[in-house]
Amino acid sequence: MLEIRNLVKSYGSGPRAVDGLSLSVEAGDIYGFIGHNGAGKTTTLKCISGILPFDEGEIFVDGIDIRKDPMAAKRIMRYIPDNPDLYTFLTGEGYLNFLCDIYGIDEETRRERIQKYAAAFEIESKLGDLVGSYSHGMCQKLALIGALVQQPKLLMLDEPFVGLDPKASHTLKGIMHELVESGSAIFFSTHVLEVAEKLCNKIAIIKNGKLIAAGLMDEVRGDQSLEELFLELTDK
Amino acid sequence: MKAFRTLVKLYLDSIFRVSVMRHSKDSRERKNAVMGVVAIGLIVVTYGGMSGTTSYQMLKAGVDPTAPFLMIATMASLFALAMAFAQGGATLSSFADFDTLMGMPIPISLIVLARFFALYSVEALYCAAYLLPCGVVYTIVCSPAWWFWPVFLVALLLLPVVPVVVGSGADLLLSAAFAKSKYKKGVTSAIKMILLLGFVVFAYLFPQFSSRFIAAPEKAVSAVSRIYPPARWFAKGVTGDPLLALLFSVGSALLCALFVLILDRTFLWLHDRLTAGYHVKNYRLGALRRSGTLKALFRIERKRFFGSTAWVVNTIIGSVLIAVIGVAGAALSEKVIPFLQAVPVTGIAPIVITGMLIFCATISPTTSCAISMEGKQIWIAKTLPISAKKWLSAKLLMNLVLVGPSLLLAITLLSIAYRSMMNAVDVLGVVTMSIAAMLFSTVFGLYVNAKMPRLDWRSDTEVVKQSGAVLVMVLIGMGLAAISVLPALIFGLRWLTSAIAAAVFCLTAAVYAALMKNAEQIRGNL
Repeated sequence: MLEIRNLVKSYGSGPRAVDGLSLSVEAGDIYGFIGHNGAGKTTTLKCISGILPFDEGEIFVDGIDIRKDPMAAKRIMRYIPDNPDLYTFLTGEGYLNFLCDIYGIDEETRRERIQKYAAAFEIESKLGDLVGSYSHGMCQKLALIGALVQQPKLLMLDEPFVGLDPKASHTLKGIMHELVESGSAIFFSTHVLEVAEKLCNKIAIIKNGKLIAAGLMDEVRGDQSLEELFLELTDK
Repeated sequence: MKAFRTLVKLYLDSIFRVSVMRHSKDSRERKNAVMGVVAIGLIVVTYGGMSGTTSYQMLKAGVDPTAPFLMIATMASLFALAMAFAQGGATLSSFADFDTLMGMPIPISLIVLARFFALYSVEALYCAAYLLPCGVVYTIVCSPAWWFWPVFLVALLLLPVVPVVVGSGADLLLSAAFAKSKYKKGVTSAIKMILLLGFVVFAYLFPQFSSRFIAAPEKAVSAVSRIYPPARWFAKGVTGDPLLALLFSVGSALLCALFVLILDRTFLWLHDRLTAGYHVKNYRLGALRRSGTLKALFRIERKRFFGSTAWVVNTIIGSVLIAVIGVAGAALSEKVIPFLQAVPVTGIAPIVITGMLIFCATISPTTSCAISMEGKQIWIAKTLPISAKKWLSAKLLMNLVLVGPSLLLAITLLSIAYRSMMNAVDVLGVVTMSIAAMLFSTVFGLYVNAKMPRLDWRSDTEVVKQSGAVLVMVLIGMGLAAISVLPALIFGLRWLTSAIAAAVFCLTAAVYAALMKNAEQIRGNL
């Protein structure tokens, strides 16, 4: 579903934020992406989603080269940043309806999906309010609903659990499982290693822009806990 | 004192972007910041040039020296009043870093004072731009007493205090009164626009006042004094009554202290009220109508536009003025025609109509900050499967929808009302030049914004009123109005306007082609 080959990205004349990163995410994967602050996680996600141009390498989403056909790639993937700035001048309903228009979702389907996910995240009664009046957690929930109504083949999330209450975190984990069971893939960054350990079937660890470990969770982790492995690899 | 300096510096830095100029590693961002300051400088020079020339003409004609000071101080004060009314609430109370500042061990009174001082200092810059040339001209022509400059400088520094207090106080009260209303934005935008309209009408009449001062000085002084009495105290004080100037200065300082004291006491309550949102009770998911991509993008542009009071007030004024000119010009044509016939210039009616319509249609296109207004939400436009061409087209469409109907209405009404003074060539010139200028400012506004984007703003006022692209387009709008009519005025060739319109159409097409060709790159670089 996602193939990254030798990705290189620098900001101006500074050092490489991402340095020769390669990995692949298959359909059905919940792929965790971990690393210390400034390791290059967000930069990688932004390069995949088309927010940032990159210097070298190739990125394919379901076989589509995102440099050659970014529109086709964007139609099947969604990215949610760690601090989603949404259109504050719209109501929650207006924002979701806008996204559905962009993705060409018919009226019946959009209604059904919005109702389903808004109920799951318990913000149905707030969809008539302006996004500007939402708390950080509510913005996060709305951004997630906006991504989920599209049922993307590839969902990329940057720190999705930050700002969510425990119940919403639990709901999100359930929805993530549901989504990958339907054939999609999820690639997400997190600092919460316990969550990554329980939720992901695959894991990648990035340090100073370079991938230092990647693969199936059990194989990468071995006999250690993910926390022990992470500390061992990143402290080297 | 150190905290006060830091807070003021912080706010001024967000306007003049000195930190970006000094420390940004992105050369494009640095260049944009420099261009923004250059644009502010050009505006300041334009104001200064205008007031200096007017003062010189009046003083050379032997008018009482009070008159130019009165006229220009009134103009500067009304400008400061309009600006403070437009952005006072956002600057003084509902600013973006409120939570951060309130969490710091800084007294509220210091935060209030720093915010007020920062707001005041920007207006003081523009007041100085208006009045310093007047003081210089007065010194050269009238050789005033030794005390003139010290008194003038102190009074000048305090001149914006009253309008800033009144303007920002009114904005705070208005915003607080309608804070919990569903129609908060609509009501405050409408009231602010009416005030701005008054200011624009006065600014338009500004050159006429100078000739009135020369023809009938006493009448004119009395008329202008009624508009804004403190300007009369200022003018009389600096030109012959230093005690009055001192009283004016002390009065302004006391008013400022009182305002800051009241604001200090009500600061938390005001912020709480101003940031309160409107909540729908018993909400149920409504009809989710499907629409095409361009329509959906246009709807977002429309909602973004009407969701920003500062943006609405700053740009819709042109469209409203066009409609007013069209309707009023047609209704009063019987009175205006004899006046125009007395002017010894060939084809004066089409020149005046074209010049006025173009000035209003081009001075502030929504496109000059349409990209910048995306702000931190730009990630949405970058990650959605929308072609950059469509994304830009929605922004172009917004300005055309806003200006187009009122322009067509005005052209139709004025062409009918002034048909006795215009032949077919003149009408063609009015129609083609007005439309060409509107299209050019729409497309070029977006092009300039693409070259000078500003996405790191915390308050929309920073973009709408202070960004480089907007200021550049103000100057280009003025230039375009001049280029459109001056050749016809100088050479008296009636077909010349249509020829210039053809050239502007070609230029617009070229800019549009460049914009669309590089659309993906423009969006990608943001």
